[in-house]
Amino acid sequence: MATHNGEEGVYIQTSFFTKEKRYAIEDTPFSLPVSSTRKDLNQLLNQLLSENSDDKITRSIDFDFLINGTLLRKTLGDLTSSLSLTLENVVQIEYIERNPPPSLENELPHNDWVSAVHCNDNYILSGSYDHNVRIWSHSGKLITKCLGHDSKITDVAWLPRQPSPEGHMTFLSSSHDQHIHMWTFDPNEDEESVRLKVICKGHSRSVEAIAVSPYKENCKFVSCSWDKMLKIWSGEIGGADVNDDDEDKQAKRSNINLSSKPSSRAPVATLAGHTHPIMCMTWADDGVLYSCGYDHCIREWDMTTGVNTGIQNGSKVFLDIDKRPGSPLLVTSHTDKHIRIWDNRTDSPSVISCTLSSHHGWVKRVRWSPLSEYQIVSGCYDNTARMWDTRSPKVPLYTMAAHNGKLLCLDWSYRQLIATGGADNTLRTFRVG
Amino acid sequence: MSKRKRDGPSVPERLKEDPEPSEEALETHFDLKDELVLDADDEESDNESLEWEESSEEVDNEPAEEGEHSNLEEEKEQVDDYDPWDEAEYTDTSDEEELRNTVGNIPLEWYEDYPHIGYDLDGKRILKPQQGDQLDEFLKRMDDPNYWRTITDSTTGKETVLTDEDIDLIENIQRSQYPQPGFDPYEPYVDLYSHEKMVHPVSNAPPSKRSFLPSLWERKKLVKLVRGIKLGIIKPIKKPEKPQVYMLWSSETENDKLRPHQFIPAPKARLPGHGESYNPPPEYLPSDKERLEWEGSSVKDRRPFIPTKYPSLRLVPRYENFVKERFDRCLDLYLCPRQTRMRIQVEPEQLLPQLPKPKDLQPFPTTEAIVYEGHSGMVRSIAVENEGQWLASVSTDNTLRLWEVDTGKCIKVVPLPGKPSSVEFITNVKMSIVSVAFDDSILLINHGLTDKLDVISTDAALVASGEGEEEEGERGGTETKPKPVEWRTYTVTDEEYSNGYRLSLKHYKTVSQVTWHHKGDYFASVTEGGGSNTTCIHQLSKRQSQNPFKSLKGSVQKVLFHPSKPLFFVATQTYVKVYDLVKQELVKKLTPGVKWISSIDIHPKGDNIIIGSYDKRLCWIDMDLSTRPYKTLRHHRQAIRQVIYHRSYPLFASCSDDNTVIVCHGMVYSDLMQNPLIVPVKVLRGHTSVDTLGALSCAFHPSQPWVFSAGADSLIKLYT
Repeated sequence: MATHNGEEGVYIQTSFFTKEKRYAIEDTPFSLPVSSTRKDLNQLLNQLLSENSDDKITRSIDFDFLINGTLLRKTLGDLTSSLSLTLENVVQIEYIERNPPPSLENELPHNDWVSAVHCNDNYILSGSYDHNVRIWSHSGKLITKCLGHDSKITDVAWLPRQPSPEGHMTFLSSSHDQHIHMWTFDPNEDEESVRLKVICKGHSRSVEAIAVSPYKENCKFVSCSWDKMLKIWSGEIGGADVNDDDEDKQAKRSNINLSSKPSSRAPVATLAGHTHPIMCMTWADDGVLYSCGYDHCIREWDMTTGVNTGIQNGSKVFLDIDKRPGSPLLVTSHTDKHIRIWDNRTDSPSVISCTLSSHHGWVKRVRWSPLSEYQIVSGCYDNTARMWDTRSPKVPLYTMAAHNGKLLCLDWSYRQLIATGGADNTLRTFRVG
Repeated sequence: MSKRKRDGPSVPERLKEDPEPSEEALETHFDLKDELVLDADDEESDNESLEWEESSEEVDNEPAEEGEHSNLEEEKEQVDDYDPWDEAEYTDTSDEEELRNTVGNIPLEWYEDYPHIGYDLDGKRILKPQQGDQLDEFLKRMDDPNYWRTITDSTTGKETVLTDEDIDLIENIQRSQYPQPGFDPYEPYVDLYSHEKMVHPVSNAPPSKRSFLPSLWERKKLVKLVRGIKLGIIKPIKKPEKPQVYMLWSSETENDKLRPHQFIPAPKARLPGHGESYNPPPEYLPSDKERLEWEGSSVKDRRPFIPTKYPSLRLVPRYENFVKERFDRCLDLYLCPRQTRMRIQVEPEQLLPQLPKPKDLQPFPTTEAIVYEGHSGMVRSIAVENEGQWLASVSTDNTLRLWEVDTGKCIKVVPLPGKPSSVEFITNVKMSIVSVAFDDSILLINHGLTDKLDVISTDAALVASGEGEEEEGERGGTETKPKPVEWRTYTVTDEEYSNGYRLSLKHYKTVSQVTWHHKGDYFASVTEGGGSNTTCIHQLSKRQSQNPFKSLKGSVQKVLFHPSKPLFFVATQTYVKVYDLVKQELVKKLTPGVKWISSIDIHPKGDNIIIGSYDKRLCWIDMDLSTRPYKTLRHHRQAIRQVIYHRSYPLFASCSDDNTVIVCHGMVYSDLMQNPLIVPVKVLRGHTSVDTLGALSCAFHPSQPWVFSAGADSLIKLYT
């Protein structure tokens, strides 16, 4: 067809529709040149909206356009030819409001490489190679710094907020020193706001990651380690824990008050099965945990029984895994520069439904967006974080030149905040939307 | 039957009446036969009549033949000879009834004297026609214009005038033409019985029933023949033998066939050139000195001919060597067997072995992933911890650095008192020790990075062994035997203890290598500079050192423990000697055929070793196969610094001063009949050379197909 040659003067019959009612327009077909880009369509749409709508929408809105569920990134002609659509029919174009690119908000300095970060509604938790766990406000103010570990922090996590009268928040930190610390943080107190409550001992090598169960009641968390084991721990602060003499040393070194000695805690259960170190885990909604690491496979664990219920084999080392909330899609990052999306539902032998490849190094972290079911953010050793849309898997949506060194950790737990930590001793926060 | 024959005419009627073959089919068959017989009789009679006609034609012919004679009288006489009976036969008209010959075929002379000839039915004489006399004859001849064509019927004596048609007939016969006037011999041919199929066939008779039935008598005859052949009475007719013929003038005989078919032309005699000319160009002419030399040399050695110049061809003398040269040439042709030399056309690609594509041999390291920056001097040696979490490196900046493999973060820097040459993790996973060889000592350092319990137990074990060692030392002192190695234990009070220093082993010479036994208790060290005491084996638990080889020829380069058997490899400059440590004897001597061995590594299964050399070669020796290399690879452009095997993947790598690490696929099959498959898969470039030194050390990740390389540019790189 001549239209596919991208010639000037070739037009496509299009009609626009949207699922957002406030931006709805009349269903009239337009004839658009194949060379028109997103900007052209955007201009047209804004003009239409301003013409036929009431005065509500006066500012220009940025739209994204979808044809058959694929984002328009280049020109109309390119997309229609890649989707192999005939240009004789009217092409239905869906338009959605475009998310603005994430903007760098804060740059939070650390003393050493930042290795872990986790955000909740108000605070940012960061762990560093200087053995400290820091708590920051969203605005970038350092609330407190707590030292309890002997070695670098590998992961930090907020526990789901308990409905406690004191307004305590609980968080976890794991470290190379094989322990997981459970801390409480009381933002209302100025001094001694952070207390080390429980030290979880059981791993025989450095703990690599912790994953907190999404259930608020009967709080549990799981840790994985270089000793190839998964350990399940209770997430309650109070409980039958043992105090021993080691804790005194730990507490002495920490700069927090000794009034309440941290208690020691043993794991509820240990899940063995991995043959190589485990790098990452993620919880599914239905009490299923996915773990993966150096042994090139994803193991699926039923956490109520502690049984390994499934294995999916890959070919490369897994560095991170995340589960899309509300759907069985898993996203994994690998040492071979790729991000893979796993879909269990397909009948095809390959459960990898999509491969996102644009990074130039190990993809250390990958997270689904809490905002949109299509967006993924990934952090890589090539100093960048990239935001992806699964509807246009070839090119990332945005590339955030996040750090001057390797990007080591990334978090997008809080809706509007992406936090990345890197080897340039900074934690950076990006505002989304 | 006879009855039926009698009333014969009724037979066809009966046939018509009864067209269906009745129960008396046989009889009707006979009836038909009878009918046919009857018909045949009729045909015979017809034939007779035909014969008659033929004879009458002959009669016609006869007078014509005689008509050649010009004399009519004679003709008349001849005509008289005609048979009157014949005449009667075909002149059957009623007008000439009375002139009918009644006497039969008798000579007419008998009736010469009578006025009549014969008698009619009534018995009356038939009178002769009126005969004229000579005068009448003459008058007739004169007057009658038809006289010339009047003839006398000899049988009746009647005169007849020949008609014009008769004359034509006679003339035609005389001219030897077709007698019938107007006969066209070239009439257009009418193809009555055409080969072409006609719409209405000439005969539409259905094929006879007999033609469909197998013949009974033929079968009988066949049976007879078959029986005869079986019994051997009838013998097959032999074909008469053909006389042997051959090509009389064919050049190929039996002898020729035995000869090789390819004709090999005789080598051509050298053609004379300018030098042989009677008037050669001046540059061909020898100088006086050359001529003298030629004359002085023996006939055998010199060339047979020397160019000579003559003023004219007339003055050229007889060539004295002519007969000898012809004779030699004949001898050459006659005595020297000739043979064609087969030249094989081989494409260079065909000479290369068929190797699988590297793409099919994945996984292997391909891209640079992480750079470990921090050293300020050449990184001399690297080692990876058993689990693959930590990387240790020693550099000429006198530090030992411990790195986190995943991130490239330097976790620990341990200052060293001297220039280190080698670093190695202990093979015992329960102990957290890294051994560093520097200057003349070996340091055992507790890195404290693995399990905390292991770290504590390691310290405890070292202290315990130290207590034993002191007793040992006391006893050793009494024996006054010079100890090859001095052990020193660092205590908590020592400054270096906080750096992780636990033990040091002081040698007398510079230590170049430390290697651990797979169980992690024994380790061996190599000191530089030849002579005795170059190789020591130390036992950690008992703090003993021994020197198993009192005298070793050549300077020892590297030593190696076998991964499963009590074997010990000692690589000197050109040989690798394999010792059995239990029996304390030399088992094998491997000759890789290189000039200077730089490093050696053994396959985890223990049957293959690779040897790298400073003369750029990498040798793979299959020890079950031979003591010589199974394959020698020359991929590097400069000296190979280290060769290593991967512990679990079928990979081996070599690093060289040309800044490359070459990763090869080296598959060892459990089937003893199958040779190892060696395919170079990847060249990894990443270092820059400093003072002609490139990649100094390399190490594989213990569980992943990743390779680390350390270079003189103070960088360590990880390729995944």
